[in-house]
Amino acid sequence: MDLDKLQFKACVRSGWQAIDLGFLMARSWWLPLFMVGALPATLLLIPLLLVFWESPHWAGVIVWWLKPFWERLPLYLASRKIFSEAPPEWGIIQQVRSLYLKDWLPWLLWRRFSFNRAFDAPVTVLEELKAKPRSQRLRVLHGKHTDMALANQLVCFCCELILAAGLFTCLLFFIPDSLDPGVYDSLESLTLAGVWIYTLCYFSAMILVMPFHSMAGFALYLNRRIDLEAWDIEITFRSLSQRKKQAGSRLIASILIPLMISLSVIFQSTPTLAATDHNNESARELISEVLKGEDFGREETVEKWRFINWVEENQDRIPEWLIDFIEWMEANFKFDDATEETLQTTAFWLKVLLVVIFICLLVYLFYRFRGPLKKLGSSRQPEAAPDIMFGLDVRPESLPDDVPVQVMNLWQAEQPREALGLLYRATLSRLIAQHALRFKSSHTESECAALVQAYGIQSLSYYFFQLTRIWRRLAYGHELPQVNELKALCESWSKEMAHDPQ
Amino acid sequence: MKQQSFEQQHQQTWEEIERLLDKPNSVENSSRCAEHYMHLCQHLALSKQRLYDAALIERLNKLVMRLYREIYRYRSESRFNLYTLFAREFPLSLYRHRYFVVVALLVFALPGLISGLWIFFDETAIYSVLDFTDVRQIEKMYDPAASKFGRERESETDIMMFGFYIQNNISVAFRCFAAGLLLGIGSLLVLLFNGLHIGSVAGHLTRLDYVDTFYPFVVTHGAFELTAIVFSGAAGLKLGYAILNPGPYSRLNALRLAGREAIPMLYGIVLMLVIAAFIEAFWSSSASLPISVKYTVGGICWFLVLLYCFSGKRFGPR
Amino acid sequence: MLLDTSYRVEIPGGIELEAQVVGPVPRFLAFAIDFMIRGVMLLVAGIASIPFGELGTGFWLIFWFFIEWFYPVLFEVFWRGQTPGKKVLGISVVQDDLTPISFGASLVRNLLRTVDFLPFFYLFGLITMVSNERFQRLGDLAAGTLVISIRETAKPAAVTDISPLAPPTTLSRTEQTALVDFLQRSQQLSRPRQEELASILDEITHSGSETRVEQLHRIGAWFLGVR
Repeated sequence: MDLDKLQFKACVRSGWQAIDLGFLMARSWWLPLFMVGALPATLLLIPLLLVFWESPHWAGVIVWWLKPFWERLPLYLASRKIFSEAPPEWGIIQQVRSLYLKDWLPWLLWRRFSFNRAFDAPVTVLEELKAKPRSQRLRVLHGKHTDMALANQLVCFCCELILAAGLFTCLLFFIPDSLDPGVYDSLESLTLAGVWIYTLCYFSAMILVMPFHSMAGFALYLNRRIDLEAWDIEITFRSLSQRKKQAGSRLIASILIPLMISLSVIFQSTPTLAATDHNNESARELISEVLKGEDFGREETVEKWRFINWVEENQDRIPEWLIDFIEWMEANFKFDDATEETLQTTAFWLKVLLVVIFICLLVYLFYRFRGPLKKLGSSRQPEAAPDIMFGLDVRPESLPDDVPVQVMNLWQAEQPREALGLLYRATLSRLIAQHALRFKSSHTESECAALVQAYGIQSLSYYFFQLTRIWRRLAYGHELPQVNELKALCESWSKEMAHDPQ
Repeated sequence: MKQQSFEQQHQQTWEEIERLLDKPNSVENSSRCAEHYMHLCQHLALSKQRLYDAALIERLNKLVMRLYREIYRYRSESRFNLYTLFAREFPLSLYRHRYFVVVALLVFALPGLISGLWIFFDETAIYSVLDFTDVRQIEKMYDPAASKFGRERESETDIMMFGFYIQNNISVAFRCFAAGLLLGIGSLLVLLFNGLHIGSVAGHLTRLDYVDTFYPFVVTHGAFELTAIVFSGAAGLKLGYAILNPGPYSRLNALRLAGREAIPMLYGIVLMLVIAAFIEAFWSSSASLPISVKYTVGGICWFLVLLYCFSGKRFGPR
Repeated sequence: MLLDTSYRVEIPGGIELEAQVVGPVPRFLAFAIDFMIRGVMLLVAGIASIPFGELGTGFWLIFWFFIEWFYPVLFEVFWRGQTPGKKVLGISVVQDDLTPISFGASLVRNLLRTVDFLPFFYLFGLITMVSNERFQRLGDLAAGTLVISIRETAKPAAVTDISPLAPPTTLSRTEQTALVDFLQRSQQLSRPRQEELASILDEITHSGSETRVEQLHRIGAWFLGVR
């Protein structure tokens, strides 16, 4: 057992999380686990179906009864996978006989219906314990997680039923009417064709759910061992010691070698390592407890293969009971005429109340949306125009009287930044003041340009586009504009700004 | 720095944050929670780097997580504004998804129209769409000779029907949306069948000349109900389309975005269907109102609903 | 890449949040509990509404509508991501950045239940859940939510009757935690196993009168904060 190669994160988990880890293992190795579980089961099912041609459900029951066997191969495979050892593909076939023969009789009799089946299976399959050592080991393992094992068993059983019924309904839905095998007879019980389909559906559901169920139990078992044998601590200690060795180059092989040997026994750890003293009596007590539990568990089988009948019987029974009850309620709890009248009045006033609330809402809505209703525009107050945009003062009063002249003066005074800045902010300012364009201080230059374009005067938007382009080049790229470009902008400024506002 | 002096130096800050977290609603009222958060992260990073005790790191880690959760906690008052939702976001999201709405409308209305016309001209065609018993029941409901339309229904029945319409119609709309996850096919089917059903019933009743009982009954709440079903189909189609054509995103992220964007539509659909249920239960069923009034009110409702649904364009070109 | 149920998100400030995602078994049970609660609520409301005739039926139908669609939404949003069933199982729904769930996400997640329910009692939901490693059903995938475990593991009682020993060298956080665990779990580990584990750390213990196990216990106590 080489813990350094462990394929999942070793830490002490809660039982639920251990089950979830089991589901993760099942889904990441799903195909191989499914194959080794499903193949032998299918190989047995086919001849059995041939034998029980007229009553295929018996073939189903037998294969289902042998489920503990089908779970052994996936378990064995997973015990290799978690240490990233790949067992040879055909090697596992050779293992089949010895795996299936381990302690087989009890697993087919009373242990078949143990709620801890998946949780306990590793003790038999991997640790190969029997009789008293096994029950001692189980006593230790069962210190925790038996409730989770029960939950796992129940939920997986429900999933099997759901999957089987889902497959059944889907199949019926997709079988074309011309090929309809007639699943139900006139009494609404399954015909032979129906039993065939249902048996196959249930078998498929069983082998599909099996890897998950078995892995969840295995993960519970592993979690107990991690807890009891402190695998997580061992892994960290080893990496720490490795680090120290590399750092200090003190290689003490004399300790390491016997240690490796002592730990290299795969899943063969002696129960005494973790188990504390248990006398025979307590073990016997435990066994009897388990047996009691299994007796209780026999109910499960009965329910499973009578499921369809059970539903039918109850279909008739429950409504009648309910109808009786409701009739009784109506007979005994119906109010007399006076109360009935009160009820009627209450309902009337309630209705009035609801209508009044509704009308109030309607009035409010009309009030609220009176603007849009008057005019399909917006009734919102325009936001106050910003005073400063891009760090430029755009208040009209901050501008000089003759903007183009001032701009050219600044340009000739070799202050191109100030010159262009003045032109840009003057343009913005005019657009805000005269044309009531709704710039916000959060807008970028190109958003402003888009707004001007949306305003709809083509020459103005072209002018503004040119100006924005030059301004941005200067402001962010420190790229001087051509003199004639600037001149042209200045010359047409007054004309462009004089456009009539819409 | 030694761990002990580090702890001493910052103990006060940590205790202050703990006090803040222990008092309900105090984090959102505190102006310093962002500052606290940054400090805490810094302390945690430092103590990790300096290999301080696991216990200290654990404590700081827990504190950071609690503060983080508190900062990002869902707050109904700040993120859920009913007014902007219905006045702005719902119409806007209809406008943004106008192509889906158009497709949903076509899938709903065209089969309805065709089957309606077909059934109007062909006496037996109704039975290829509906059951015999269903047809009889519908005929009985709208039969002008029947007593039902002659007298006022009791208030109790009105309220029961209100409950029924809420339960049934909104559930249908929700399922129509959810079915969109099946690559949009589910929503298309729901729209198609609903369209077919409504069209056939209308065609059949028109052929029987039950016009004065059927149309005044459906016209008013139809304004809300039919549009809401189309919208829920559109929202479902959006989900399906996100899976089929995720654009620059992964399919999963596209689906997530679509789900998030469909939410305002869902709220709007619920509102419309509640209004529809209300009108259907208390207004449409009323027998004492003259037909002309019903048609007028119905017309006004259609006008207002369409006006409202088309109002999304104002809120921004997207 | 080790198999693990934990899910990590880096949050602003460079801190990593970790949570354990929850698989189908606990979620199935949580759903079963909620299902029963809902059934009982509807039944009780139904019985209570019988004397009120049609008026009662109307209210009962509205109540049914709310129970059907908004029972999970309201609980998840206003009760820290937990419906009563989830509370019993100690699990909770969160956004996939581990922030508390928003109203919109919860609504989407629960409306899409309809699809998860197809074709027979949550079959699609179960299949999607096991086909991705975060155990998200279709509704979770579309809403960007996931179900995590929020049950705190019970901390063992602090050890005080041990004199601490300063570690002879600097140790990383995991190593510190492992030493603390070694001390705290010493009750359930058999003595031979403890010695076996301690012998791995031969480098940081010294050969004195004390056994290695005791030395490691004392270092563990140091990291527990005992001074």
